[in-house]
Amino acid sequence: MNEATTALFVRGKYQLARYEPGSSATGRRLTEREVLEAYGPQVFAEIDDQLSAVLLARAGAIEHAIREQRNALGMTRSEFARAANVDREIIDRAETDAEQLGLRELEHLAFVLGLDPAKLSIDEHAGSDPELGVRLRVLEIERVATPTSARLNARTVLRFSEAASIIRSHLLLQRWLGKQKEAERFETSSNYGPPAWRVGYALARRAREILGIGIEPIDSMRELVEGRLGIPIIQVALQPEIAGATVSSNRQRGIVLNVAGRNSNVWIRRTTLAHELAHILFDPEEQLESVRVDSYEQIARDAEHDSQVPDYVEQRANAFAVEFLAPREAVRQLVPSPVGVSAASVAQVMSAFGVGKAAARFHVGNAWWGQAELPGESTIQAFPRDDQKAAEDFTLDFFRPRATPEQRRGRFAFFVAEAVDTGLITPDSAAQYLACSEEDLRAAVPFLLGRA
Amino acid sequence: MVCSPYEAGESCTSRACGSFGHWSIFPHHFGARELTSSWVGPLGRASDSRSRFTACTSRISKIGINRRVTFTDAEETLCDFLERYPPRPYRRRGAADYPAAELATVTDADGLLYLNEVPVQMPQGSPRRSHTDDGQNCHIWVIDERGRPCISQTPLPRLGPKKLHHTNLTGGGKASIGGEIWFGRLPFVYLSGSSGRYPPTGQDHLEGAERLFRAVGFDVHTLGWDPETDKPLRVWLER
Repeated sequence: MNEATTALFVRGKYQLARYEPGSSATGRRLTEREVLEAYGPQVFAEIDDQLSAVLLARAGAIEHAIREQRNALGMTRSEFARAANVDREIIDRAETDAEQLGLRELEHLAFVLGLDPAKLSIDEHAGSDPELGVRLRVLEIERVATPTSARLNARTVLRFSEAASIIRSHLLLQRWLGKQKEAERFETSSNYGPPAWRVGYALARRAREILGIGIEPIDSMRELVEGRLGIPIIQVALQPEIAGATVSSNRQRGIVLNVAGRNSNVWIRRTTLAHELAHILFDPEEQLESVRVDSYEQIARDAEHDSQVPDYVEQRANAFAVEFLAPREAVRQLVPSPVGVSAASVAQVMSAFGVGKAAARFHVGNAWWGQAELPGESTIQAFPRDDQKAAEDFTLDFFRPRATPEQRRGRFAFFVAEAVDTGLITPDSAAQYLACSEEDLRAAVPFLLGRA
Repeated sequence: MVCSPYEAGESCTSRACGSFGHWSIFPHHFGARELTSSWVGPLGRASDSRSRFTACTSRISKIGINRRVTFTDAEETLCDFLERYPPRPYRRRGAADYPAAELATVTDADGLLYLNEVPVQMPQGSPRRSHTDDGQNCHIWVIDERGRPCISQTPLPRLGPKKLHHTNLTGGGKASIGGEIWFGRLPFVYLSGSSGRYPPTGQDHLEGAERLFRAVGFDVHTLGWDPETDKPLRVWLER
């Protein structure tokens, strides 16, 4: 970590200054790169001339931004306090007299609310995305995805808003680190059919062509989505009926995966990822609606023969997911006849392509244009292999720093470690990203970089 | 130590205490000529530097030989202040020096005013409240080695279009500290320690300067110190 050798700055609630070694400044230490990104080059001249650069849009800007965003998410102060695991008194102060709190406490609240902590005070909306707030509030009020599912609770709403912050930070670090992002090679499509499933199949074929993966099984969806396509994946325990969601904030998109419920099966998780990938790559912004939550029930439907009232966006995503994971051409090679399809054949498809039972069964039928004689679902027995689990598993267990919440683990944490190691961000900022102490961060960086 | 020559019984030829005790101000919307005529009465002028010299001599006499004493609280405070926070060369922005225009000395002929006492009248100002606002009628001040604390921030005609800098008050010389000041209903003033060239060394330094202004008779409302950046706060927070 190169902190000692580079020019550092220190940010308080209301102003930014150069950090001098030995200073007792308690604010956030930032690299020149971080300052440039957040505040632009003009602040350097102001600091040189006036000793510091003022970052205050108006009196009460911090309080306003936090209060406004909490209201936009449809939470009471008490609900926010419980969901963010902070004292109610902290929320009261943040919304009425932020001067009484330190910058770090306010940054934490801003981050989990989906605000940009760097914009606190200098922007009275703190970089909020109004559409994200509205969408989450609507989801909180309405029922999610299906009439039988529960409402989004405050904790889930806050996990989604925090996901927006993680996605923004993830993509920023990815850009700074010069990582590839093949997702930029894809164009959205407003073609939803009918039939939507046919468009979904076509998009899956196109995606495979762009990525040059033929009809071969995809070894690791996680690596493909995050490593090749550069799309952030945030894994977090959500309400049990939710499989995953796409989050788009200020046109920056990422995937939220529920680590609870059926996604604990790696094949289901791959299907969920592929489904969300369809939304991310191909849904135009107006369809993505900032947050699109998908239930397990929704994702498990037959891509072609959905008996529910058709949601073309979801139908297209379902068809994309299964065709992307298991191209019908390859499925027909494994199941060469539609007559008397055995449970073992379907299990073979599941195992070869890493798809769940329901999706595999439907897809074998659809691969033979609906003419296949399918076995009963209960007769199909197949389980993910260890190598498939290893390829998709996230680094949730044995993770360091231990204080880092699950939603900030995964590739985001590795980007943070790499960024701090190369001097792009300070250990102070890195510790904020990973919600840990600076000491724990320093100890964890070698682990995260594979040097320990 | 600023006053040490006096302890040795030397005459005060040093700039260190030359015009000590004179406080100057230059409202930015006044022309220099107007200002001079307007304020020459209640305020001391640059050439009127003996009162400070007397004060410093008196103080040393009090310590040493017990000679005549005619010093004021303000002068006592200032002498203590300069002993504790002696004038320093200005801080450079990098390796390069500032342009000559930013080091050119502003004189009383330009409208430089010294605050020996609270002025009878000053154009009212209000401090900076956001990053897009510099407040109204902002002036800059220094406590230089001659004890000159204040002047307008706006350009003076002979210095060209650029704004005035703290180094214009010192002619590129030494100063203990600099900052900004806005006048309210006198003796009410808002005070900041914002100067990139003569920054306070710490919160105590700025607080010492605030005591100087209070000793003169100002009702000082400080913008305060920001512990998060360990720098003077540059923005007035509604409290």
